Amino acid sequence: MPLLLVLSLAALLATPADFARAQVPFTSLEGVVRSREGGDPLPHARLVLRKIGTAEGDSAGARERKTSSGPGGVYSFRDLVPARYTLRTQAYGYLDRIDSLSLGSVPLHWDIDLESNPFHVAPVDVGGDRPLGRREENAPGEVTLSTARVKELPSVGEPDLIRSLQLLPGVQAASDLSSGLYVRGGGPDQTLILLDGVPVYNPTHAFGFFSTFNPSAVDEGSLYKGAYPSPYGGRLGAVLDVTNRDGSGSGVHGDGGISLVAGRFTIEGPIRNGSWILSGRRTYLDPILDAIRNDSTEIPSYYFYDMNGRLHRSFGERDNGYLSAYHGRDAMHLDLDQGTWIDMRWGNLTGSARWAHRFSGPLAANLLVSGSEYRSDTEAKVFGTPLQFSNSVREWRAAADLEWSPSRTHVVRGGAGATFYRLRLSQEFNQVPQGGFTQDPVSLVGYVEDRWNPSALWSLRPGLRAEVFGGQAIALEPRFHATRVLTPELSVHAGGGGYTQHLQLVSTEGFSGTDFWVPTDATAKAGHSWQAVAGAEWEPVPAHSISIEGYYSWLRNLVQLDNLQSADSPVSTTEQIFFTGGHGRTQGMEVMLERRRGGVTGWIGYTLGWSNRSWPEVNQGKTFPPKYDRRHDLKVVLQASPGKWSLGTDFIYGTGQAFTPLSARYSLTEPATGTTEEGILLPGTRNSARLLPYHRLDLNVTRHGHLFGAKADWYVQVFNVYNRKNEWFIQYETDDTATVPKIIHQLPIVPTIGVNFEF
Amino acid sequence: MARWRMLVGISLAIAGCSGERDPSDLLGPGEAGTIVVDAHLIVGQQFPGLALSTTQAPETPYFRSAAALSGARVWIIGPGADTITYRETATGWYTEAPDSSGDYHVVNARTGYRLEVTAADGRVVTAETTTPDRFNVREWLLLNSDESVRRPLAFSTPVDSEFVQNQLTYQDGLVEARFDRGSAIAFEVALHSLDDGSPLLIDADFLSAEDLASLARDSSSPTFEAADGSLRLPWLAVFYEGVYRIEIYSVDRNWFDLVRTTRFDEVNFGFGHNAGDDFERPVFHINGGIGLFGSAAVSTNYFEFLPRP
Repeated sequence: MPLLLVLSLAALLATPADFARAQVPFTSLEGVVRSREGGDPLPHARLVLRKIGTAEGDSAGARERKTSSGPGGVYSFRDLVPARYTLRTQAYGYLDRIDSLSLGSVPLHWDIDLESNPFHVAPVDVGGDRPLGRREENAPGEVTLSTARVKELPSVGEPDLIRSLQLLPGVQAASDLSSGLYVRGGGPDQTLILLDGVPVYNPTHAFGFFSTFNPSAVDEGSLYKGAYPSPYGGRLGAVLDVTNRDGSGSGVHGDGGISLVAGRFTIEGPIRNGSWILSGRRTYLDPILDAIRNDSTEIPSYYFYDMNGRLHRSFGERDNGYLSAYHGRDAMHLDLDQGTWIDMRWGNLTGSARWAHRFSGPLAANLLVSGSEYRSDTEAKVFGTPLQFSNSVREWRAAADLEWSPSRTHVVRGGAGATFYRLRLSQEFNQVPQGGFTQDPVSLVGYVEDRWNPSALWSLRPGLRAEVFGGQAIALEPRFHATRVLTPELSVHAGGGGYTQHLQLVSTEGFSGTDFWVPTDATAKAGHSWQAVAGAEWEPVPAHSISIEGYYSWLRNLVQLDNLQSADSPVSTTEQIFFTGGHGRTQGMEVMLERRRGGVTGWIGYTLGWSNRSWPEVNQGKTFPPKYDRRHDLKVVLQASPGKWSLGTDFIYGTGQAFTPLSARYSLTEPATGTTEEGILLPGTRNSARLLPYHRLDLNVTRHGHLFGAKADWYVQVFNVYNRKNEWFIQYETDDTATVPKIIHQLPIVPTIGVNFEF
Repeated sequence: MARWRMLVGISLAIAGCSGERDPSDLLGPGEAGTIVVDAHLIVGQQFPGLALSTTQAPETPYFRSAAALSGARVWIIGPGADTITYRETATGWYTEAPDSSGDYHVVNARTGYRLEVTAADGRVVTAETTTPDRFNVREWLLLNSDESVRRPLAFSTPVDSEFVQNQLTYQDGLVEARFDRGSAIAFEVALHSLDDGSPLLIDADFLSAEDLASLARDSSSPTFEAADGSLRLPWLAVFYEGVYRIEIYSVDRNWFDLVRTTRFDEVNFGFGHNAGDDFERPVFHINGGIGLFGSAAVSTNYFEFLPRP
């Protein structure tokens, strides 16, 4: 790790001759990438600008420049030498396009229309042209996954964005039943999850089995695995920024899908100078569960649904307005007897209104007003004793961002916002309140960053974020990122920053329905981390890349649920709910080989990582690895599209999770009853043992065809093809005098069939 | 195509790797031989018997007789170096030896006691407890479901005439104890069904016969802080018809820490855990060993639970 940092810094500090060409006249190229069919803007298209011939001030490293289109499909290249260029534009699901351009001293505006590339029409170049690697001008450790690709990856029951992200190096799942994101040795609470810029506080359905992101409604998810830039904040580790897609601008269209678990339907169309889209999804397990249920088989009724909507309208060339909304609910009811039942409901509601305005000068603005609510309500009665547990987090946010380009080499972005939170927790046992809290903190945030390109070879991105939360001391978070292009094929980068987390999640793996959030208050310090990353990306031949990135993170003021309290302990402050003052460290290195075009596309990713934590009250104060500490993590994803077929497979190998083993047995009297318990289990050192390595292979076969005249994709997916009995956790049976460790396994082989259609 | 054949070949090779293993691999390094102290003092009562044993390795069958620690020397030292000497009266079981006048000591309230154990092999174990104040429930009440008071309940034993006041219909109303908690650390409630063989009150056809048969006649609650000086009996703690002895213990720090961190007490309604993270070593206050040397004061009452008509 230190070696990697030193090498990267050395490369960054190598004196480039290109600084000398500051006197050369520069020009720029900008425009919008759109879909030819509907005219929809295409964000995240990849653009490669390659110079033809030579020009004054040219150097080997300046012959090729890369970028990707931003929101609204806008792209730009600055600081260009006047010359002739070829511009190659690639977007997933569209045919590549190559333009020849001659740039003079006057900046050129060049819009690009891309023709769609249905898989069954073009069997070549189907693997996803846009690289999974970071975008050149953006943050280190950023990867983007479109839902088109998500639908091609094998899944269990439903295509799922978060489960697909778990196939990336550095990203793990806690188990086959969890869609939680464990990024680079951090827990799921350390990743900020946004939907159209609005936080989603419980991004799961079915107790964590599925994510809330309907693949028909979502355009893509960008995951910043570490050292994320200053526009984001509030979490110690990573950010997942999910974007709903815009509706079609060329007529009313619909699409849908039927899987073993749920049905999806989406309809979209144009409005004057804009588009709309509505999408819904619901499980249809209820009638199946009802059919199975009888007097001797107690099965709960369960369903979830979610709805997404988005409206976009342009008001002239300079103004765009967006309205987005999401609503999702899970509900479970189990009626065991007259005096024993449980009823649970939980879900999210988000909404946002965004206004984007481009001023006449080099200035653009974004205004965002949003709201987000997550609430969970559980009521139960056990042998006539009532229980109740409710919690909610609601936020209202107003924010404004400005982007200003004072010169060819600088794009300055800044913003400010205020968030008003409302957090509630209440619980009752036998009609007696058991403690809870009501807190209404306010957060004020401001940030600024400069995307500075001092030369064609350098890209620097210094930034600073500041936050005042709940009247506590201001948290200042410097951020920095630098990229140095060494050759047209090779670049290196490094970055880092400070990060603060004021909201803490209490979650149960495998049962996310009762997740709740707790704000840090005056009784504890907010969580803080320092992160550093450094890496390199090499593209020896077009569409083939190798990237390597090392990361290191120092964590302090960590919290962990104090689950050893008395049953009615007050839980109104941070100190009462958590063990506080924890420390941690994560470090590792990721390597990723990617092939983006050709007969077989995909990637191979490997992560070598370490993660540890310590709290004074836990494990006798000794440092221990969290259960998701994974030394080796290998992911292989391959896709191909021969003829009318699409084939996909993934393979995962990872070090077994850490667990606490049994070290001895003893007997002791339960003092109140006087009953002597024999053979009580004495835990050993925390997480000092390992489950067997995890591995599995998944397959996906899709046949592209038609159904009643509409395009239809029939698919068969097989999860855990060779039925590997991966270990989940250990239970120690003590009914007998001998201790019998019982291994609870994860999912066996799970085949899934379904169809996706569109018209 | 060759790539796919290779992939299939690799898959089959991996499939040949067994996911099974010897379960004994899942046991950690043994901590056999650690001395276990098992003693709790009750205010106003004689000093209790005390069990000494050792931990056993996880891979060997557990037998209490094999775990018993014999041959130790045991003292409890009270205020003013008042020493209570224990003697071994059965293997691993130690009781107070009477003083020269043949009397036995009584546990005092708000008093510090120190336990000293010297094992036959020379190992020394020590622990300290400070006994709580004497504790009495001020009133027992039967509440309506809207929490209004229906009627007071009696302090009585089954042989008292007023015991009829304490005959309660199952799941009808709420039984509540009110008291002055003072500076008590925490409370624990114990229920003892005194009518062996009485029928079940609960109607739970979703439980198997085996599960129903395993429902205990002696049970205890988690620890409560009872900040408002009241505790309410949950009906889910009552399984059988008949007379019950109900005890409320005001416990010391050692007792509280042990019960709240041992798997006797897994009730944690509504709160989640980080899965797998709740297998945590209990908090023992024993130097040189593990176990409990704690103390409590207790208030007792009797009730009879009748089936619903």
